Amino acid sequence: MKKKITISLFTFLTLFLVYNYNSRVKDNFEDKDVKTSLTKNKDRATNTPEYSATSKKRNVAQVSTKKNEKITKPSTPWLVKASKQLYKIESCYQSNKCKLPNKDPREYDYSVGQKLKKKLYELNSIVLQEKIKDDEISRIGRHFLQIDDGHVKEAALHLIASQEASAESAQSLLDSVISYHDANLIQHAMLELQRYIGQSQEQQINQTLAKEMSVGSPIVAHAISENIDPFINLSNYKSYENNLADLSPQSLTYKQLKVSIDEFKRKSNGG
Amino acid sequence: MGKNNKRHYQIHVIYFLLFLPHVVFGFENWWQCSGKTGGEWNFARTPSVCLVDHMQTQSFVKSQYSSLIFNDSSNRTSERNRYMTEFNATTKETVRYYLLRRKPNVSEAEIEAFFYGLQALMHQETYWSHYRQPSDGKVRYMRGDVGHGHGVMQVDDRSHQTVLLKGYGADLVNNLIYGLDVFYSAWEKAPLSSCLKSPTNYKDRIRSAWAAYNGGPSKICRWTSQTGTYAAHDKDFLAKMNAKKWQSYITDQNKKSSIDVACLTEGNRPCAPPSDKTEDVIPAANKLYKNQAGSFCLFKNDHFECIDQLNDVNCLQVSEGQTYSKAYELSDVLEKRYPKIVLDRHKLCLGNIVGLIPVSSFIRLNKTINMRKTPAGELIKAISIDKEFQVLDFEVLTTSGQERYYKIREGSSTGYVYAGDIDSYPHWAQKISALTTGKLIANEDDTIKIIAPSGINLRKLVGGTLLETIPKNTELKVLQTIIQGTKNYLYYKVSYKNKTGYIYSGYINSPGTSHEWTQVVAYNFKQMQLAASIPYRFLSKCASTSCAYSTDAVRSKSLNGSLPDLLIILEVSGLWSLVENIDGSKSGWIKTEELEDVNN
Repeated sequence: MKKKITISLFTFLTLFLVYNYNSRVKDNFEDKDVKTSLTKNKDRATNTPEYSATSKKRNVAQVSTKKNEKITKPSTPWLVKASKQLYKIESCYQSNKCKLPNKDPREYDYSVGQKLKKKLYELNSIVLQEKIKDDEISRIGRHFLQIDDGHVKEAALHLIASQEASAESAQSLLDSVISYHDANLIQHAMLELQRYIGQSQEQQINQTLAKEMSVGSPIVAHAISENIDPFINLSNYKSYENNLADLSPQSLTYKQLKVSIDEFKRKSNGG
Repeated sequence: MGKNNKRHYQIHVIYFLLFLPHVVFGFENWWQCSGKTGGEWNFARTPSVCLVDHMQTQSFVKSQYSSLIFNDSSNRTSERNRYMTEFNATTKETVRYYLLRRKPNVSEAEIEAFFYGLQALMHQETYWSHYRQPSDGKVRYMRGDVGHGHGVMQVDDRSHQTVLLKGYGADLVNNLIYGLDVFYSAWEKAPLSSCLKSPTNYKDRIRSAWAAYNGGPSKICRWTSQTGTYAAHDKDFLAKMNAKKWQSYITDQNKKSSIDVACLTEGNRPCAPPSDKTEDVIPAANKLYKNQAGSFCLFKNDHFECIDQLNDVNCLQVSEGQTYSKAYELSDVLEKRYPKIVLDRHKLCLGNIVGLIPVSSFIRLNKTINMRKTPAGELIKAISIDKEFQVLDFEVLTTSGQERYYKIREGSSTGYVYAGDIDSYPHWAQKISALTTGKLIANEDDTIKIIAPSGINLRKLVGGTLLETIPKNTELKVLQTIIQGTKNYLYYKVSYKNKTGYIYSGYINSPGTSHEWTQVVAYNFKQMQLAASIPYRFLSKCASTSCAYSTDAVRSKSLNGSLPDLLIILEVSGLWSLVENIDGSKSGWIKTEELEDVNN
């Protein structure tokens, strides 16, 4: 009798968990507000992204064509659904026809961005919960990292961080975050880039960081300098010292970079 | 940036909205707005303005931006002309500095066009309105769009709340730079769009950049449509561009800004007014000089004595018994001709400011005091009377009054509290003997442990001859704590193998490295770290994966380039643990299974 109860309980729990998991995925990616009629783009989620147009001139949308990757078919049905939802929301930027608030000029784009952010975080939550590693998740992260909205980038960054490091992701971080103008994202992006120290991407990372400290947004440049310590090592500290010559000596970026180089030297000789 | 055109007929709409308790996007209208005051739909006085106090102190704005505050009590016409002329000079210098930094080979034609675009943008967004001082004498700053738009560039709090909390709304130059980042991004993308035939078709490029600024990046070609929802905005913008009405208020196109735009753009606060040029061949003994790096120097007999930051000029002036009304430019040539001594701010200020409490000492608050992100900046919270803290830094803001602020940490918040002037300081905070926990910096008789992987050199003097290398994990009794320099470099006097000397222990000020050198041994708690299989993890604000992330990330030993964070478990809830790093600077929730014993 006890055994039967245990088995029944076990079966019930299993069924409940499976049901709960499926409904949660479903709930998370059901979006009633975004009722688009994008027949032109209906294959986008699983095949080619909308912005991979070959035309050189286009209406500059959220995603750059240059670095766009081909979106391959996601490996699991729930991920297919998740990515379909995300791309469907993204298409609202172009269509301008989604049922979203539009009371002031910026509100519509904000709303699209907020929806994307929410969905990306939901996806991230499931990925962390279930400890999922899948190249498709990285691809989704990289794709949405290109959206010109710091909130969306922030969520995409978390998605990329949940997955294995890759050359494509490193490039995406440099192009879409380090060379962007949102200083709030720099700490996270640079933590993520630390995963590439000692890898083949390291030199390019250092070059981009040095460049952005010189010619990037002054706010971003300072944020980079505040997080530069882990990147300075024996093979590149002289190059960073040369970088000082490109900076205004009175800038906080110059002062912090100099402090970090000096600190590296102290660490190297034991203090 | 995400705001409507401000035209006369919209007043009614806005006032209608004011009386509705609704929120847009879940964001509160008129967030952090007190003392809201109206205005007029004309340059410099557009409604509405709110007190700067949530973001900056009154005294900071009045001392730093006095020439850029519109004074309501003055004659309206002459004040408008004065303000517009000054605003034009400041924004022109800001654009030039900004563009030359972002694009060193930029042409004069492009700088001119970009500035023209900014002038039209400021007209469209706010009629060039930023700071205003109504009859009560308290400075306010521009808020539009039911309070969501902040400052002359109308940075929207629905999308940019984090940066607004860092002062990018109220602080004029920060507001300009933040807005310019967005405008410049659109400016650079415009030539790639379908609606711009040539990058030098500046008129269309301005229209594209503004359409994206106003409507979002996907609206960069919005101005080409005659019928869209916001086509009227683009037409209105073009009309403003063509009319250039701002020109009629500017009395001197060649005026130089009264503020040091380069210093402020590069993130320094406070900045002295631009230095006066000097023809000195031999430095004068009674002049304060400012060198190219922004340090302030006095010439003493045959050498310069310099300090690195403007606030410390107050300590210098008290020490000299003299107030310097302005600084003179010190050329590299003149500076290099004489030896230079950099004065240590700790010795200088502690030796001259009455009752100033040193960094690493402990204080108890004698009043409930506001904590601000910087002495003059964003209000974080009120700290209750009788709370005790370790002093992490100090700032002296005035010479005659010797007004001082202390930097402290409460929970995961770090900021400054006002601690009185030369007369009132005992009423604000008092020095106490010691704290038992929460020490970032060790003091005499405390025990520290060496954390640096290769150990730390014991030297005869600070930075002197090497005596011994003390290996990792060695525990030592502190004989003396020494703090030096603007970053608060930390040194401990210790004894090891019968040799007494000094060890370096990183610096305290942000981003801080002291935790990578030594650790104060004050806890008996078990220390944990993030499992090596995870490179780093942002802590959660509650015990759930669906909860928002905090801004604190903890690193594991597998992350290259940095040491792992040592963590203490404060509380367990289900599968989650509330953790704090060893110096108390980071805290949040993490799954317990993602933690491992520090000895693993």
